[in-house]
Amino acid sequence: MALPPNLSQAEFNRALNEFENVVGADWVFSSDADVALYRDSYSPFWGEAEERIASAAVAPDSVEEVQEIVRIANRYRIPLYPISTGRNLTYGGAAPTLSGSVVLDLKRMNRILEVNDERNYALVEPGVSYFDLYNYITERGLNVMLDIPDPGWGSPMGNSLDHGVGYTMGPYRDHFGSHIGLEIVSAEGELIRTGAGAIPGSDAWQDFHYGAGPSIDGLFAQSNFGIVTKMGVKLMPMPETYMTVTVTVPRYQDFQAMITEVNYLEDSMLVGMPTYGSPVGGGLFDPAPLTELMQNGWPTTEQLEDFVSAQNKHAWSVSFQLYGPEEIVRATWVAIQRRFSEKIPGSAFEEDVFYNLPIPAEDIPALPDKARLGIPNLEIFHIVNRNPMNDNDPPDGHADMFTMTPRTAEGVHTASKVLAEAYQEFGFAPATHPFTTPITFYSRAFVVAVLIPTWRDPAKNAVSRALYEKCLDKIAEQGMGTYRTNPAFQEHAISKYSFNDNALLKYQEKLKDSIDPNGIISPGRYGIWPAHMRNNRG
Amino acid sequence: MSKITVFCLLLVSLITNAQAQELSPAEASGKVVFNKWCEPCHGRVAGGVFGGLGANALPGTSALGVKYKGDLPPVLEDRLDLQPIYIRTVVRNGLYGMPITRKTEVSETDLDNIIAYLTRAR
Repeated sequence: MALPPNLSQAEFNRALNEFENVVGADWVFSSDADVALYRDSYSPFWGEAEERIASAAVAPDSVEEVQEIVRIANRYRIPLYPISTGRNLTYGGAAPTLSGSVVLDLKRMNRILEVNDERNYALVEPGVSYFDLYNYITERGLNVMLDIPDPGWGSPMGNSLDHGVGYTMGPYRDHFGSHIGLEIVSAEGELIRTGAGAIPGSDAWQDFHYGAGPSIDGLFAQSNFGIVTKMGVKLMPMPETYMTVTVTVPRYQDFQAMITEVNYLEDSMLVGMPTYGSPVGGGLFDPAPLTELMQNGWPTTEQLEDFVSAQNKHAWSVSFQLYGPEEIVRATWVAIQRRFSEKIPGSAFEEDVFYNLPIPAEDIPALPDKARLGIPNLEIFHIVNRNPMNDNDPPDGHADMFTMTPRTAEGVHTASKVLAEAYQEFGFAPATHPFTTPITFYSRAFVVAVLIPTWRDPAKNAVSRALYEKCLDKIAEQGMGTYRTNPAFQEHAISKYSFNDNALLKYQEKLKDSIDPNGIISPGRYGIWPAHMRNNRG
Repeated sequence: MSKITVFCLLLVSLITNAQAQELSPAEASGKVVFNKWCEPCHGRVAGGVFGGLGANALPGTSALGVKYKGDLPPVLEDRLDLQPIYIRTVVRNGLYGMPITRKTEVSETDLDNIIAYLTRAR
């Protein structure tokens, strides 16, 4: 069994007894078998000394119990690692950043405190899943739509706090950006509410997020400054209809003009999530067609135009999700076609699907894009599960490497090129190519995504880790970084945000020393260490 | 055969089938837990096509179809060979892309009931 740092077994046993007095013996997990349930199923260090292993887990049922646990942890200086549903797979799952931490498992705190479909918000506890919230809304016929990440078993709170993302209209896709009011147990056990929630008796906690004075909400995302126990979620009113439409443009060099127009439409709030693609280049899941073209290095623009012409297809596509009353959706589609025709000669247009909302329950199972309609599911697991493309050796997990680029063709091509170089340096077929397209999870930034497999095999994981770190290095050389990563890579990723001699991290650690003097909340998370553990860095 | 005899035989048949399909309390509880935690990946219903993969089946069902290639049913609820220790091991250890499931999600009682449901006599 792992122990918390600088604690004897006898002291730890006394602390566990105190935890049991708070939550009951059934909700303190300290046997080896029980603690193993808090391993990261997709760990890039599975079975190795560096794998992050908890010392125990404690599962409170109330805010008051969380406060008591924090006070005990302070007395013993035991690191706590709070998790919501513990399903932050690829980003660490339920495992702590620092081995020996006690996982604070908040899954039992799973109350949906309110869903309001007149002011369009929800107020939830950490253990609520997207499935839970969706079922609550549909069973009551409430007139709101969720914006969800792919796996429906995740927590709206946990996903938001890790800067998770979704698939509908721009403001809702940024899940932390669309939170509205937090309740926090501080590192010293005090209860804090933010925004209008700080006014006793306020009915506007989920309406007004600033309050007055400095907003501290951002301190509790991807951090280790406190434990969030309630969060408001802004919800989109259920649109009357949903339509998807696709625009294609003919030439390789049309990409920047297409992006400029999509940025106009997105930033004008006229369209939901734009989905870029390339009719000649395959998508995220099928990079193979361009391998031959890239055999002699990155092709020239002329070679790429010839490649497009030879296939007699258009070079780029973008699909839009349109939400709203049918009159507006159809008028928007007319305007989209007019604007693209004016700006990019040869643009072509296709209407894809049209649904009246909400979708009848009997029609939901066969829907191809449930997440874009706010319907939680697990169908993303087709990618990493055994499938016809990886029948012989399916991976055990994956480490997502999401490069954040500016919303330009040059940004996308540069990231794609250096990521391809990283793969080729390791002898792998490149996962990106000249027709790689960005994902628009965030409405104001692009993501160029590669999924690096992880295994329950140390030799294979060593290669995956080296490739992941090489990708981080290569994108940083281009002034780019990632937004979220597994604890195994958090220090490496944060080291790239080094402007002015790491001034940002130094400031965060000053806050850490003040807010959490005993360093008990998630030490090391995103590279932030408490003073007495700062020699753990690296 | 008289009409009464036919009626009685039909009645006996219906009762026998109903008894065969009736779930014990543990099995019924197990089905509820299965539907919440297992069905979204391993269910029988059609799934949407995702990136051209797993057409018309949910991911776990699709993966088992690829793995067993017809030797075993891809839908877990159709399997007659599942052993309690195997179900317990996969739920608590994960397997390939399927992650570990903790006791705060599926309790030991819930897991016992899932096992009762999937291994019931049929």
